[in-house]
Amino acid sequence: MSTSDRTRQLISAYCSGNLSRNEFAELETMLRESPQVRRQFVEYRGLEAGLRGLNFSERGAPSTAAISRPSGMWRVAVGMSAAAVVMAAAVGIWVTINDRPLATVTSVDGVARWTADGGRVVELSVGDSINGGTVETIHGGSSVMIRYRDRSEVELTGETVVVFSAGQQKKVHVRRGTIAASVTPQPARSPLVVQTPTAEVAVLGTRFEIDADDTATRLHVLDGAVRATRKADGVSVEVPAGHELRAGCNVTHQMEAVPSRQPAVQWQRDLASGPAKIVGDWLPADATMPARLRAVPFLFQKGSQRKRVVYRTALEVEAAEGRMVQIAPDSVITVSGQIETPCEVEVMLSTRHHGQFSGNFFFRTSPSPGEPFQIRAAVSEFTGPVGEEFAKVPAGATLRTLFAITVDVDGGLEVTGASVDTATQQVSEGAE
Amino acid sequence: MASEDDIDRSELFVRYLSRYERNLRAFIASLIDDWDAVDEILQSSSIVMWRKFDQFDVDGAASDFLSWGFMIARFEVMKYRTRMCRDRLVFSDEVHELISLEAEAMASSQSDRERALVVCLSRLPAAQRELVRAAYSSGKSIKQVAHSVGRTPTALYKALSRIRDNLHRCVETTLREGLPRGDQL
Repeated sequence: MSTSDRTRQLISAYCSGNLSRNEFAELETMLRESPQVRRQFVEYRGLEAGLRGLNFSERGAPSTAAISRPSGMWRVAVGMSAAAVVMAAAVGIWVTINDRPLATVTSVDGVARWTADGGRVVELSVGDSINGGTVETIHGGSSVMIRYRDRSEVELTGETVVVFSAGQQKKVHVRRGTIAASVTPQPARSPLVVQTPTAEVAVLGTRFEIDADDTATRLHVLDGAVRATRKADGVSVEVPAGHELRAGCNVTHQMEAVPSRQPAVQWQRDLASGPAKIVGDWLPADATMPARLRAVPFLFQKGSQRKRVVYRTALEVEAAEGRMVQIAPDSVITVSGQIETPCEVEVMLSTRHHGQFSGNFFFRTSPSPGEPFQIRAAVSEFTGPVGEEFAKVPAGATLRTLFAITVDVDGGLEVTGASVDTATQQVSEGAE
Repeated sequence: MASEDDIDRSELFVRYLSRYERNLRAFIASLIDDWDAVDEILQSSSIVMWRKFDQFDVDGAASDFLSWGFMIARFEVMKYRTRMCRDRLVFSDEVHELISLEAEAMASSQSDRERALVVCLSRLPAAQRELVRAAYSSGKSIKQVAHSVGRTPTALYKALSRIRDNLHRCVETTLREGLPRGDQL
C-alpha cells in the first residue's frame, strides 16, 4: 500500500471513529511530520462536517439552497432576540444530548449480546447504541468495546457479563469475567464505579483491568489510581499505576496493592493438577490415560451466519503467582492430547496487548486419530482472521486463554496438557 | 425592555453567526473527532460569543467576526482537551496546534467547499448518493443503516470510506477548476 493510500485509510478511519490506538499514533506521526497530511486531514474533516450539515431530499439529492442558507438552528432565529435564540438553541442541544444513548459499541470480535430493559436481546455490532442493560461476550474468544459519550471505554473479553447502569453516574456491574477500562476524568463527586461480587472500585480517570468471579476480584491499574473496597469488610485501598490488588471474601487476608509482577514467558498446564480455570469435561487419570480435558459442544452463531457446533476445550493461561504469560517473538505453543476420529484440530490463542483485546490467532492441523498427539507450532505460524485488522500475533501480547477445538465434527478431542516456551529455552533444554 | 440599539446588535449577531456557523463547525471538527463534542463546543462557543459580543467591534469587517469566533472556539476546544487529556485519542499539544493553524486557514473557505460538495454529490451514481443520504441524514446508527441497505456494518464503513475518497478528490478538483455558474456566491 502506498503512503498516500495509507494516509487516506487512516484519515477515513479517524472520520468513522474506527481508529485503533496504534493507528492513531501512526496518524499523529504523519500529521506532525507532513504539512500535506495536515491539509488532507483538515479537508476530510471539512468534508465530513459538510456531509453532516446537508439537507437531503427524499430522492437523495441535496440542494445547493439547503447549504447556502444558515443552518436550521439559526435560520428560525432571525427576527427574534439573540438572547432568546441562544437560550432556545441551548435548550435544543440539551434535549438532544439527553436523548442520546448512554454509550456506543465501537468494536466487536466474536459474539456479544445486549439485553435491554424489557428483556429484548440484541446481538451487538459496531455502531449500536446501548442505553443501560446487560452486555455479555458469549465465548472465550469474544470481545466488545463500549464507548461512553465522554469517551470513557469499557472492553469486555472472554466469557464476561456486565450490567451497565443508565443513570448520570457511570456504574458498571461485573458479574463475572474480564473488563479493561480507559476512563476519562470524571467529576470528583461522581466517579465511575465498578461493582464486582467481592469489591467496589471507584475511578476518577485512569486505565485498569479487572478479572472477577464470585470468589475474588483481581484489579490491575495501568495508569492513574483507583480506590478499591473489599465488600466483605469494607477495607479500602488506593491502587496506584503499575500495581495490582486481589480482593476476595476472606477478610483474614491482608488487602494490599502490590507492584504488578513481570509477565512470564513460559507456562505449562498439566491437567493432573485439577479442573480449575478450564472449559470442558475434566476427567481424572485412569489405567490408560492421564488426567485430561474432553471437548464439550457449544452452539456458535454470529448474525445470520450458518450455525456451527464447536467442540471446545479452553485453558486459562496464568503462570505461577498469578503472573500473566507474555508471547515472545520466538514463543512455541504446544498442545498434547488425542482424538478418536479423523478431524481438524484448531488451536486458538486469545490475546491482549497494552490492556486491550488484540485478537484471536489460529493454528490448524489434523493429527492421527487413536494415538496421543503433540501439536507444536511457533507463534509466527498462527494466523488471525483473514482480512481483519489483527493479522499477526503482536509481539509482547499476553496470552489469556488457549483453546483447542474441532468445528462441526465431534472427534472426541481430549487435551492432556499445554505449554508456552521460547525456542531459545527449548534449544537450551535440548542441549542439557 | 430591550433598547433599539440592543435589538440591532442582537440581529447583527444572529446574522454573523448564521453566516459563519458552518465555518466554525468545520474548524472545531478539525480539532475534535467526537461529533457530539463538536456540537457541544460549537454551542458553548456561540454562547460565549454572544456574552462577549459587546466587546466585538461591529464597525470592522464581517470576516473579523470569523477570526474572533476561531479564537473563542479554540479556547473552548482547549477546555474540552483539558477534560479529555487522559483520553487516548487526543492529539498531542504540538500536533493539535499544527492542525489548528491549518484548520483556521481552511475553514474560511468552508462555504465554497460545501457548494463543491453538493456539486460532487450530484455527480455520484444514484446508488452511492442514496448510501450517503441514508448514512448522513437518517439519524440512525450504522448498524441500522447497514440493515436497511442490506449490507454488513463493516461493508458499509468500507463503501462510505470509498465514497468519501471520491468526494474529496472531486471537491478539490472542483475548487481548483472553479465552481459551476450558479453554485458560486
